[in-house]
Amino acid sequence: MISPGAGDSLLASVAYRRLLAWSCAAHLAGGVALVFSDQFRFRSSLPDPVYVSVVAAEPRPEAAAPAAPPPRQEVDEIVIPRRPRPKPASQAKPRPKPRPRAELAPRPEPKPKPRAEPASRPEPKPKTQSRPALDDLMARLQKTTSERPSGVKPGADRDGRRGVFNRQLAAYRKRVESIVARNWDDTSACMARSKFPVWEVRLAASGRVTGVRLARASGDRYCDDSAERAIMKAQPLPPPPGKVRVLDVNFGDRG
Amino acid sequence: MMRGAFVRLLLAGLLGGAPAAGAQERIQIEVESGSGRGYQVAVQSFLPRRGGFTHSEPFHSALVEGLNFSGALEVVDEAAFLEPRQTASLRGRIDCANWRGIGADGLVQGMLEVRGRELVATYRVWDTVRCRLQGSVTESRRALRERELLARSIADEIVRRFTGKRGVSSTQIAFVSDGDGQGNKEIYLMEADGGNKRAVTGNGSINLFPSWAPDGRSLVYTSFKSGRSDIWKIYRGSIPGHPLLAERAEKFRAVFDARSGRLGLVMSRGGNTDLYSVDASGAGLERLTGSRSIETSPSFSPDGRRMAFVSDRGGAPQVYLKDLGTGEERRLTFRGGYNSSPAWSPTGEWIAYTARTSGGFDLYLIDPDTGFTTPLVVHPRSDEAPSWSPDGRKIAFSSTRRGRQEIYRIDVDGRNLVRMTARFGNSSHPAWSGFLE
Repeated sequence: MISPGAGDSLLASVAYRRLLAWSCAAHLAGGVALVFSDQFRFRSSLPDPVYVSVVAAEPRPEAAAPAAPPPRQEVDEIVIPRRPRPKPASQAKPRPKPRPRAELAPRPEPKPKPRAEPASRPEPKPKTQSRPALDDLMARLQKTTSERPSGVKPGADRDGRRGVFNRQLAAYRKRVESIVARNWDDTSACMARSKFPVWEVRLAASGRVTGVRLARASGDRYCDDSAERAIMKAQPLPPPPGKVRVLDVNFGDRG
Repeated sequence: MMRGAFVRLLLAGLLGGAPAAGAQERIQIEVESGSGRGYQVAVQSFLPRRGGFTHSEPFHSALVEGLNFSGALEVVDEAAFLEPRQTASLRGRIDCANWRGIGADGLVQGMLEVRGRELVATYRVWDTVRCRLQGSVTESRRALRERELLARSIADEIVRRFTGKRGVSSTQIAFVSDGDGQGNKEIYLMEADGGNKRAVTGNGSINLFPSWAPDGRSLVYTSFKSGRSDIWKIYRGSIPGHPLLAERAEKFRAVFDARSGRLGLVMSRGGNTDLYSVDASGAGLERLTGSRSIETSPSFSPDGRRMAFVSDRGGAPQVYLKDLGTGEERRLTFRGGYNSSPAWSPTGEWIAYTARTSGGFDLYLIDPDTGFTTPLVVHPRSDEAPSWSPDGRKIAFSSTRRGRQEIYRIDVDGRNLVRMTARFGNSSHPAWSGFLE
């Protein structure tokens, strides 16, 4: 049995103190490097198709933004609101994780902790997977990746993403057309016209109309007005997909 | 992280798969058809001032009825109002959100007062969707006894501000009826909604085929008062009428050309019935058709360039068109063995006519340019003699669907069939007026 006094004398030795200091510094540096390295970030975040599938799994397809050049910010914008209840829990989990890093110094067994950290990071994700939407999302992701021909991964990724985006765009377009048509209450002034109005509609990311401009007049003010009213009454429009911020709304039967 | 994003962006660019910035920013939306529901309009009762109080309620009712009658606007139930039911002021802005919240696309506010022997209404109309005034504050006045007409005129103007086409609630319909119960056919008038029926003629003879002057101040009709068929003209407020022409030949019918104000006249000279043109005073007689067959029922296109008429030159009555500029004539109807009573719509796009079918007569619409035909009213009993409302949205006609001949109206899309002359004898030959000044 070691008496407290013997321990104190051992810790007090200069060599041991230096060794401990160097060891702590080395581990701390290693941990910091791991946390901020791109590799760590890549491994701990979902690949792009996950983001696409999240949106596709939602009833409202208009919130997706997969074709945007820097998709990561878009992912954050969109995925976070999609987790209304679990979000506080899943956000709270990763935050305590860095704390052990700060506690490394006083602890006698610092080494295994930083190494275990990358492995423990993905923990919040399995939690969110338990939700049906994400289950569906992962299933789709797996399906997409398994169907992808081997050897052409990057291009196929993009093509798949674009395909999904195009489908979302088509769904968004259909939805907006339906909403505006439902609010186009008086079409009488537009009947029997050879020209129809086109309104340019500017949107915020939320779908709020920030401005309208008559891009092409029908030649009848009341026809143009009825179309503008239809747009204004159709608010709120669904959030547009990707970077879509301008709609050219063409009124009238072109058949 | 930034470096990683940059590298990925660079790689994507090199691989050629990155979407160009802004490439997806604008998309096309195609809205092919609307709801056709019409606008919802809230009406605050007009603030009564200086003697206007006693007129306020009936005025408000007539205004609401006039707006609803249009078919283009529908008045919001005031029980839903979040704001006061009565106008407080005609100055300042309104809380558009409160009106939009109850589904109102527009708001009517006004004041009502008596000035001498006149009722004066001052009003303004809001577009609550775009939150702006539709037109300026307007003052409108009529004699006190024309209170309802004042309200309906304002309703029609409000309809115009929203749709571009004036409403027709202040128009009138002339018709033929034996409503006095004595077997005589007299000319009667009623409001466009079927109310306030009153006799125009009372000569105890047979009076038929009323037709309105474009300004609505006079109408012509066919009468046997003098013992033979002749054309008579009567002005508002003047009784009795007088023969239009001194010409001795029998004249069966006269129809106004709304564009020129001239009349198309069906007259029999030398045993042959042809179409003529004459000015509103009865002068300037011109012959329009000259075949050996019988030509009747003229109806002019709204631009006055063409005339539809009925001729039996092909062996049976059919509708023909005549270009009044070139004189060229062509047959328009080919379906069925008997087509008559063409009525050119005020918009010019349709001609309504009566077609004999297996069960009697039905009403059809035909496109004068393409000949495309579509049924308007089909019923086992007979529907005849169509006449268009001046906005081209409604058609009045006579029908025997309930036994006696009565007058009905229907929307041009075939909806909203309404009987207008219930318990009013046998009524026929409706003639819808133009917009009355």
